[in-house]
Amino acid sequence: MGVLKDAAAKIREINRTYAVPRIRLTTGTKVVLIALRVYLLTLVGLLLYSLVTRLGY
Amino acid sequence: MVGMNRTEGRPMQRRSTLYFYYRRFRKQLGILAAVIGPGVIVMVADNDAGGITTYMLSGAYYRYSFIWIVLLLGPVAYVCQEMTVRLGVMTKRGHAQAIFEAFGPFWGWFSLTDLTLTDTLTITTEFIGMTMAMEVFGIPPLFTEIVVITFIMVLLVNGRYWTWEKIVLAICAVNMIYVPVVFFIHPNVDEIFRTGVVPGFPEGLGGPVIFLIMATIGTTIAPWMIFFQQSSVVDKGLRKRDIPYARWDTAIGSAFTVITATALIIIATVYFGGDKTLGSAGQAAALLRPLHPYVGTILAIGLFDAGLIGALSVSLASSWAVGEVFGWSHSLNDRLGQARWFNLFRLSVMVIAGAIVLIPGAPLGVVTLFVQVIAVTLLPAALVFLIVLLNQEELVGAYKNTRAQNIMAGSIVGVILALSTMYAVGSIFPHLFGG
Repeated sequence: MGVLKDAAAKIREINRTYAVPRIRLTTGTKVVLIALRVYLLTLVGLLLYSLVTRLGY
Repeated sequence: MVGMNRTEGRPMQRRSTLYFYYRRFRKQLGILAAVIGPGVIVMVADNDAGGITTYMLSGAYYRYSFIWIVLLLGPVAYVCQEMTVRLGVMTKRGHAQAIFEAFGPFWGWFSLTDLTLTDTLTITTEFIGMTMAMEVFGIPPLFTEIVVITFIMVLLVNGRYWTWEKIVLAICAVNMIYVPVVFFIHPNVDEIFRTGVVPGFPEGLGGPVIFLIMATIGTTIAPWMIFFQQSSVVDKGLRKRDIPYARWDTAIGSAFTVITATALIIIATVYFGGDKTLGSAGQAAALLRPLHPYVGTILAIGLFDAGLIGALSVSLASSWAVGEVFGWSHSLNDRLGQARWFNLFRLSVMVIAGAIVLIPGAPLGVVTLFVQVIAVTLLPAALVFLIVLLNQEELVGAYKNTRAQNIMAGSIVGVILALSTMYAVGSIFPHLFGG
């Protein structure tokens, strides 16, 4: 339990440390990052669906 | 030169100029010898167990017709990896930490999780390759795995990056074992140039052909390579003045990759050309050994070596990344005990990967397939981050991407994005591409 608590605390600390992006993002870059996010979420969704159906058989 | 006329002085001057160039060349060669390492290792590790199987299958299924793709992918891999050199030297950060700092926790955790998962599964495929190769010699899988994991961990006992790198470079040299074979098996040189070097698709661009092209791209440009080389450059402590030599290091490595891959396609074509039943490089070694003992043995040794280099490098890529983000001591210059968590993480990844291979009836086919697909999800993101970071003058100063470099890298990302999406979707829904 202690190890898990420490890990959770460490993750929270990492999130705090890197909370604010340290580079200036242009509008173009921001659009690319949003598109990338949508693309990846779709791909991961398809992947999970496929994994579940494949291992189900 | 008093008393010497102008004609007599010229040879003397020429000799001293030549001597100057010779000394300069020797000095540069010395620096190159010291800098060489990260680029060669990452590129040779690119021809890992999965890569060897991909090249063997492309030769067996489509003869020499994939050689031009491999020749084209060499420079493409160079363009991607060269950017990691500049970013690593200028920021003194590994790629994972650079992503966290620049883009925040969402992209940071996404990259780290995907990298760790991909690396664990990739190491599984390395163990599959190594155990298959050693089974050709009658060595049981469990024994192979124990020896390999022990060897990889013992390499760290010394606690010196330099020593580790030189030993791994020697292991990398064994990866070239396939090249001399080509000169003894008398391939059809005319056919190589006619169908291999000239771009074309003899059976059209559909179904399994496109799948194998994507697998070839996936094995040549992988996300772990970006993370590995950037962290390696930082751990080695390369400086601004080393960048030109580090570029040569990457270019030499890229040439090695292309030469080895071409040699494998040629060997596969000579012995299995047109045989679409071949399933893996391990199977090829086992089939060849009774008929052509030397070639079969070399194939098995090469496959084991490829798996070993892969396991050595891929396990480091994710351990470096996790170590950087969690703030653990994560240098190869640290002794085993000093970098306790870093080494424990690396050991755990290898033990998990090794255990998966040993599970009776484990779905290894699904693992091999999904490792490529998961890698594909990370690759576009890793490349986009690389380009964005290389355009930040406050981060990389004068070493930011030029317009030409951006166009080149952007085009590569565009093509990879399109092909990798097709690959991922094709893997998930094979009927879409007639697979």
